Amino acid sequence: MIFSFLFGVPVSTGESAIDNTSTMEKSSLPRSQSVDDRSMGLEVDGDSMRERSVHGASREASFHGGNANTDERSSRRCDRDVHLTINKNDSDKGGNRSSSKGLDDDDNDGGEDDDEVELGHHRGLTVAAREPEGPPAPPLGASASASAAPAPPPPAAPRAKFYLEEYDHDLYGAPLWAWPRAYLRKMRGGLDTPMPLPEPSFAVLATLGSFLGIACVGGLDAALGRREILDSPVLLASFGASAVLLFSVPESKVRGGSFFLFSFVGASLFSFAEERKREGWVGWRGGAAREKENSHALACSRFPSHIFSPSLPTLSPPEPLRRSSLSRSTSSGDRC
Amino acid sequence: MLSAAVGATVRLALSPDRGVPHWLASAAAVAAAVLMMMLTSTTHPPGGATALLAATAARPAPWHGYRLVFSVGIGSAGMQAVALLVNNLHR
Repeated sequence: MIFSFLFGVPVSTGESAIDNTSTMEKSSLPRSQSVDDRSMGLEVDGDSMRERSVHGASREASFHGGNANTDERSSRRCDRDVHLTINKNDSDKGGNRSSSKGLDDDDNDGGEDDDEVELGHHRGLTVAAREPEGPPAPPLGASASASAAPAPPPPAAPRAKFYLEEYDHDLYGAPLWAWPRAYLRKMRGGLDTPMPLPEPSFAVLATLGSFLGIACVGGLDAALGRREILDSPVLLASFGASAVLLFSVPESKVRGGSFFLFSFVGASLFSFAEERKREGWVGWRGGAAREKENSHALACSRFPSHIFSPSLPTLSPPEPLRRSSLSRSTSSGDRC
Repeated sequence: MLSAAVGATVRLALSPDRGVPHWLASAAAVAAAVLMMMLTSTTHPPGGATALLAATAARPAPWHGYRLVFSVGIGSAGMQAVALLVNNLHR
């Protein structure tokens, strides 16, 4: 991609970049008519690719190739107007296929099979020599990652002022001497809009929803958790946070139900593992003490908690010691 | 802090000593906290958790349960200070 940016020649990705025997042939064809405002659909190998036209430089990219994946990738990345032909063993396909287009001239694609390789390279080089003369194309789409990397140079205004207002909230463009003050200025805030006040109906709805949700969970807690059916509490404190997320944040990325379910289940599984490891130091003693009897063997086999237990040395003990400690802990049964 | 205050208030108002069931107190605490946060545009999910914690405390904290507000205030102020330093480092 960097090469394509520097040289103006689209370097295709994937196997053609690895394979040095020029499976990719760059044939620089005469420029098709460059149209700014028009975007037309090209039919290439059954896949329709949208032809893009860059506004300022009026370039367009069209590809004819056999490999649809490579075509898509390179069409996303390339913004030059070099016609790229990626074909294995026959370059006639490109000619036959692309003759259906009306815009390109016909002598583009049919070509000499044998010397298309070096001709293509040659023409590619001429294009590469010709490209930097034009105004640099504005980066579009995915190609912006490489071309946007160099920061725009700071304006050449005379730096009579010690502090520039324009660097208030932008540390990257700022010279080094402007950083501390810009850093302090950023702390004043004002960069973000405050959370809007909700509509009254939505506020009532959120309040009702959170009430019903917590009441439901609390009812489950009262019905199941405090009895012998499910011997653990159901109502957790973090469900309050979930209620806020679910009911009162109208459009949030973390609002979905799948987040709610899977994060809680996954986090509880993970914390179960952690609790197995460091039991006796932290944890929910009642539940842990009860579950220890049930899953004693499982926990001992899966989680070698004696490594993490503070009574043993930090460095891993030699093998007989480890085994003896494990057997001791399993026999005593109070520490696993 | 607001939610902790709300939760402590609800814990005082609807304490289980008066025969209010547990689930009702917790639901009222979370709903009130949600409403207060939305009205003051300080919606923050752990606030609901704080209110739920405060409302379902088996034994109220000292200062009639309002010491939780103090704890929450100190902790969130410290974390906010660190966040202010760190999050302004980039862009």
